[in-house]
Amino acid sequence: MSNAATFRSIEDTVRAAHGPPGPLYWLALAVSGGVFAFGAWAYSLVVRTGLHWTGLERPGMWGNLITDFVFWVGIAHSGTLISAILFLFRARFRTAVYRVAEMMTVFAVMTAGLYPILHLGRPWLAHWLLPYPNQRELWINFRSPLIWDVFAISTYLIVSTVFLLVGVAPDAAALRDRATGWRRGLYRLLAFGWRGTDEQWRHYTRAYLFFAAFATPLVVSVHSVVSWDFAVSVTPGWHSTLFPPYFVAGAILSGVAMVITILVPLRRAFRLEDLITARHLDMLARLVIFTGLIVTYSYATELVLAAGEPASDPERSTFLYRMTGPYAPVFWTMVTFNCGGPLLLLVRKVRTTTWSLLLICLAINVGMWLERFNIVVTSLAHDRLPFDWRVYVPTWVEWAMTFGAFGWFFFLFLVGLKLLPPVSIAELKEDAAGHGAHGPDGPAEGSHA
Amino acid sequence: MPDRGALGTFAEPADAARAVLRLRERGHSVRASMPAPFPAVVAALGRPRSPLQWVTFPGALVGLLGGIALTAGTSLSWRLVTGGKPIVSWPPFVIVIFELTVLIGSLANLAAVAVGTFVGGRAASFPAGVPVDPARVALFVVGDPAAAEQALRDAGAEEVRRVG
Amino acid sequence: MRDPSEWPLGRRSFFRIVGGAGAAGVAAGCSPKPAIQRIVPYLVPPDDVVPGKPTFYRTACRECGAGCGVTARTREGRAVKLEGNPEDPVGRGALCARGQAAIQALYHPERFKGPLRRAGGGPAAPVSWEEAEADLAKAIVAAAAKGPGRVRMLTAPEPGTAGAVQRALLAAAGARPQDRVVLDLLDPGPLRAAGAALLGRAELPIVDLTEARSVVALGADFLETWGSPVELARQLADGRTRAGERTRLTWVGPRLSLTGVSADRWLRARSGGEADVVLGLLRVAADPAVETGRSKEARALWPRLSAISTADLASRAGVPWGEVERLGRELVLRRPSAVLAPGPQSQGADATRLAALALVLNSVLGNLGRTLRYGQGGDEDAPSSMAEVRALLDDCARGEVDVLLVHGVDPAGLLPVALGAPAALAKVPLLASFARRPDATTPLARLVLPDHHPLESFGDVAPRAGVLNLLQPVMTPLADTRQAIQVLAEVGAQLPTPAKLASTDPYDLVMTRAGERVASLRAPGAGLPADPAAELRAAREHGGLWAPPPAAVAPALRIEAAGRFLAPGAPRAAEGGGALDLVAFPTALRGDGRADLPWLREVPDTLSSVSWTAWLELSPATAQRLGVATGELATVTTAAGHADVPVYVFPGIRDDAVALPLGAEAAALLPATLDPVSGALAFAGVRATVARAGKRARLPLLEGSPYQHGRNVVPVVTRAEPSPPRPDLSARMYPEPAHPEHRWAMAIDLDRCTGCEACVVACFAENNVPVMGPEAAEQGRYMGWIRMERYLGDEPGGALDVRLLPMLCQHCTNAPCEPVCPVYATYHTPEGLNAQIYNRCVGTRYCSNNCPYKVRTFNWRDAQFERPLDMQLNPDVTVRSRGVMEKCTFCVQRIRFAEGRARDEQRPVRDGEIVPACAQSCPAQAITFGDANDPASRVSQVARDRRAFRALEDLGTLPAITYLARVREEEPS
Repeated sequence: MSNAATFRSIEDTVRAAHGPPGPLYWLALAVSGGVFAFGAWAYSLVVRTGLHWTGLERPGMWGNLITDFVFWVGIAHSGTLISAILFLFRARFRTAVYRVAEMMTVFAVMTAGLYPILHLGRPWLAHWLLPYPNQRELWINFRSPLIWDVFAISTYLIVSTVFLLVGVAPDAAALRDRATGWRRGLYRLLAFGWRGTDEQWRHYTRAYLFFAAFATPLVVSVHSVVSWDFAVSVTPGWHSTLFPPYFVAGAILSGVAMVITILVPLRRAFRLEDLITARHLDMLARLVIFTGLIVTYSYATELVLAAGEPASDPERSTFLYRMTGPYAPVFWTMVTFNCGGPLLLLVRKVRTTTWSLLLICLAINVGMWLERFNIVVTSLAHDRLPFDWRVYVPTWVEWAMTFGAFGWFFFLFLVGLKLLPPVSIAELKEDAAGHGAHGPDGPAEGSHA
Repeated sequence: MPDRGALGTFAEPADAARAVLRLRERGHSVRASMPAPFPAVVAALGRPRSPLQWVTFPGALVGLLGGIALTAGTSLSWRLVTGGKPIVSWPPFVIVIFELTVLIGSLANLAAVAVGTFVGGRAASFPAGVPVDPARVALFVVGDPAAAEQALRDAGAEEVRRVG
Repeated sequence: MRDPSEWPLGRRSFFRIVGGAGAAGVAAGCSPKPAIQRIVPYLVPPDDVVPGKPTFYRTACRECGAGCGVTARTREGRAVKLEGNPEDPVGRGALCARGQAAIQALYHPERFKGPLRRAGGGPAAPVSWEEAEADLAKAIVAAAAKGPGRVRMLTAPEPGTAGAVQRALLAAAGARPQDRVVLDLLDPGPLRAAGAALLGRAELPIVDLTEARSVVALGADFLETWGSPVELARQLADGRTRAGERTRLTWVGPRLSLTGVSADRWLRARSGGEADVVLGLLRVAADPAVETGRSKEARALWPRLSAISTADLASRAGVPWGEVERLGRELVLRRPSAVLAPGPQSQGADATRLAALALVLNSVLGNLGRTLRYGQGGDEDAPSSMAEVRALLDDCARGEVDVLLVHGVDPAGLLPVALGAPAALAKVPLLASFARRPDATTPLARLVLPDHHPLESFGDVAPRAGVLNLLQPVMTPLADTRQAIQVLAEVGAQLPTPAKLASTDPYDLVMTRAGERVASLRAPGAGLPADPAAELRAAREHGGLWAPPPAAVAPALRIEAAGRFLAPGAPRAAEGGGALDLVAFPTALRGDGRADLPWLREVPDTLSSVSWTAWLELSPATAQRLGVATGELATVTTAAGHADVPVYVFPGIRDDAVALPLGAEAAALLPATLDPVSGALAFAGVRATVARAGKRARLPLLEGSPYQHGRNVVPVVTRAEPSPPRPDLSARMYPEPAHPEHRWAMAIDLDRCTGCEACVVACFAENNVPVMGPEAAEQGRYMGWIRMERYLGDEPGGALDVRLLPMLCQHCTNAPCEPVCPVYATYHTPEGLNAQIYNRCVGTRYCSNNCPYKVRTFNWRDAQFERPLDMQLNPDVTVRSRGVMEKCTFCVQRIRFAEGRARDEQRPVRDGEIVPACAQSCPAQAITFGDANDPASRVSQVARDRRAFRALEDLGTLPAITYLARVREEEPS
């Protein structure tokens, strides 16, 4: 069949995905919206009378909410990784999946960004964390990891949003001409006068390369910064130089696992099987294995180093506490899911069977949340002065806010799927053409993939 | 300027690429519009590389210097000692400076590509008002419409339309 | 010019209103007459009520018999904090936790607003004072007509004018002396009885530990409630840090009390075995083999003593003979010493025997007249025995009492339920209670005549010869209350034969009496004062009249009388079904059990770290045997009754004993057993069975792990190792921040600290630290800026090794909390303080996570200060709002105050001029504060002590607080 026909079919598939939603979609939308609303109401209690609604207490001043923050920042990592880093590495398999991944990134950052504000004692003063001239003549403390967070997270949100929208522009143009009603308006806006002229492509491809070049170190920096929230402290269990690489790997692991968790049902529901193929999932699964091994290695390193300390050492005590204390179930579930899961994927059969892949990725998502809980909570619960040790247990309010975040995330995601093309039309076309006859000379600089 | 000429469409990027080469051999100036930057076509057109970096790089530089100014400047404006650390503690500041570099650099890059896209979308670079099928590669040959049409047909265009 | 009183609300009348103390003070230090009937506006605003400036009034504390002097700080006419009176020889400026909390009784929300009368069984209705007094007078007249004994009084000890007035009224009502019963639950009556029997002096000796080289306390918790705790704590501490020899303290008893924690040695005698321990000590002390140059007492007693089998003694005492012998030899070597007994924990049915043996031992060791001083006890208004109290209750029950005046005590609530006080009191036709707020007795009262709080009253207290501390109002009364002595005097005046009183005005009554005593209270040979009036005014300004006490007498021991006490105690009662010895103990915070003030309930007990509720102490072995764990509810059953109490597993108690603090639970369990000789209540010798109730209790517990887990957080020093290990901190990444002018620092001597919690309560009072209640306490949301970290040993199941560490903000030079704050809410000031700026704080709580000492507390919700408790709030300190972090500030308001004053006087701040609340209140004077920049300052000198160490020093946080390690005495081999 001719390329033109292929191109047309690609567009049709995408347009089909944008068709009127079925009852399943509405149900999903209602559920996620409801969960979010409940979480928001639970939070309103905290705003009204204070954080006594939580289970927090000295010494454990951080709990679920910070765990959620780290978790969602982690989820946000897959998108930019898949689109930017794999772009620079010319990994073709990204083409089909990176749009979903990028959408995930943007919404995950929007979720993660909420928590540092939600967990404040006086959230209505959150703007004090931003540098702006004020009558107090007081700026912000750039030595504080929390300020690094402010800059890293906001930069990451802006850059990844730009990256997403720039990628969407040509596709919007493609959809624009045959769209009707408000969609036409929307796509005209997103297309930003795109006509696909060589002049436009000339700048576009170059710009895309630069964005990728910016985004790649950014991805690494953001989760390193998040890890420094803990690593620069003196709390045993937090104070570790291993944290940045360990966190980045963990973030990518959780992120890719989440991408798979979403793609598997998505390609079924939106009939994208012939665009997002089993091969794509397989490549992602390999990424899971790779990062999973790094994470496993990190766990091992931490334990070995701690075990080497004298018996009276707080670090050692903290790690023993994690493994044997009241939080032991958390620790062992985490190890089983995050180390065992990826290892299982080494078996080709497990990797290629959709349901087992999905199951393992779900387990990894849970495991990664527990990992963050394990790091944040157990270290605080068991610090230097034994007299202060105390076990923290989250309250229903904290759980409501935790799940509320999932509601909020999936709500945004479901809406996003109906508005933005879930796959990159332009790049799929290019790939399609690429499989066909090649031009006189190979792919020129600045072209995609 | 490109208000007079002829527009031809190709289903296959490869054909389009060959056509471009031929037309350019004949001394025609060719403009293209395509659903994706097909490497073959791009190569055949042989346009110079976009000078975007001349906006992006300065942008990043501004972010870098701005970051240094913000962190060091505000710390010095009210010297508050925390944890016995120096007033200007570079190691932590570097993190903020880096993030600002990336941020401003990306925004500059965005601004640049926005301008580029806007310019590239004007009639100057491709005749306005002619419907372009997003599934096909369209070539526009500038010059006398009749001659251009002939040239395109020779190059194997499927549909050809005169413009102007 | 118009009469000022006609002016509209102007500045002066405004002050008059805001500062309740309408006519507060005419001359500095003086005080208003009470009960102003008609408010007169200021013609001239008094010099001593300057808004924003504190005014200090000297008065005295009435919370226990010690009668410490008090300095009350008032702001705009209302009292905001109580501190000791530095001139008072008893407290020397220190004040215990209960004394400081008294101010919360003043502002207690439940206080009666005025007199109440209950007609028939109906509800109490407000009534005018005149009516109420007339009623009372009428009833007294009617009762007196029926003959003696129909009018009685039950009162707390009133060694002063109040007592005199009470006696005068009763006399006028034709009552006999014994009709006035004085109740003090913790009074060591047996010691008085023993004194009467052995020395012919029925008085309590004044204990003076300044010379004591060795102290043995048998159940006498003199660092908490026994005798004069503030004074004794100070004397012990001085002995501890005395150059040369260190006072050695031994605690004898089944349970390790707070006094036991301060002790160098603990003899785990079984409950009731204390007397046998003393007998054993006596036997050693009188043994010619031990000492040749024996006193004549020893020589006379030896024949009797030598007959006693040491093995029997040891087995009855429950301690190896070796330990007793070693202690005995020590006492012989280290003279003078002090053997103190009995206290509630050792006061059983043979308490007089224990007291007597202790007296004999003291006399054998030559302590009488040196550490136990006779002839100095004011012992004015000595408490009656519990036997007399029971007699009174029996008479009430038999309907032989028509009028009962109850003052300062709550018989229905405080006495053991077994005495059946409520039922008996209900039979009294007219019970008049002077209680300030509802207690268990007031519902039974026909008349409630609310007394002023001592801080609203004139009065005097003579805890001993040579000391007369004066009480004066520090503010005008909050409600329509009336001082009890005024009521009694006015009632007395209405009797057919009026009471012989100079006046009905408390001021005149007190001053007249004080005037009579001026002469007696002057240095011997000083003669009469030139101008008694001037002397009295001075006395009021300074808070009392003090003179060197008369020389102590060393009464001779009546050997023949001693004989009958030397017989070994009765063999132990047969073990009944795993029954345990019940130990009911008072604590520094709960006193005799009436811990009903917010601070006293919020602050955790030092040993158990429990707050808000009573707890049951069981040894780990016993707890395991009974299958109960900390936090579970257990049912305790005695012959008298039963109670459900949450368990706290405590290694500091014998396996055959169970302990709980005095209070409602203990009152339900204690039988009405009395010591036949002294008639004192037998707290000890009660057998109890404990069974698990199978429910979990809500037990507010502060401690996480009571063990140090090998971290040696709180090191001790010994003669072998005189210095704790210090890490090498020479390697520095950055230069230390400069402290150009001052570097405020603190030193805490753990060898002086007794863990009495006075500093903690002082901090609550000074810094508006909120009381959050039991639920918050359960969740570990205790807001105190100081907490007593208490470790019981190194590892679970290991040896008991109690170590205390008062933990507060260390004001580190390299504070980990500072750099992590994104908004500069906490930073290092040029004077070395770790400042916390509440209104900058957004509540990220990272500072607390990064604080190795976990001394930062977070406001999880808005604190509640129920009216009028909010009147106590210190205007110099912010009340923190929800969502912000707070912590110790080194009382920065006091620092600024002193600095400001120094600037005004154009002089540098003097060393010792700045005293944080905690340091000020410390009875043991364990806390030193000052400028570390000045090498000559006291704090710098103390910090150079070889016992110095810093908390978690290896972290390199460079704390401003230096601890001096506790000295651990090796046993002499």
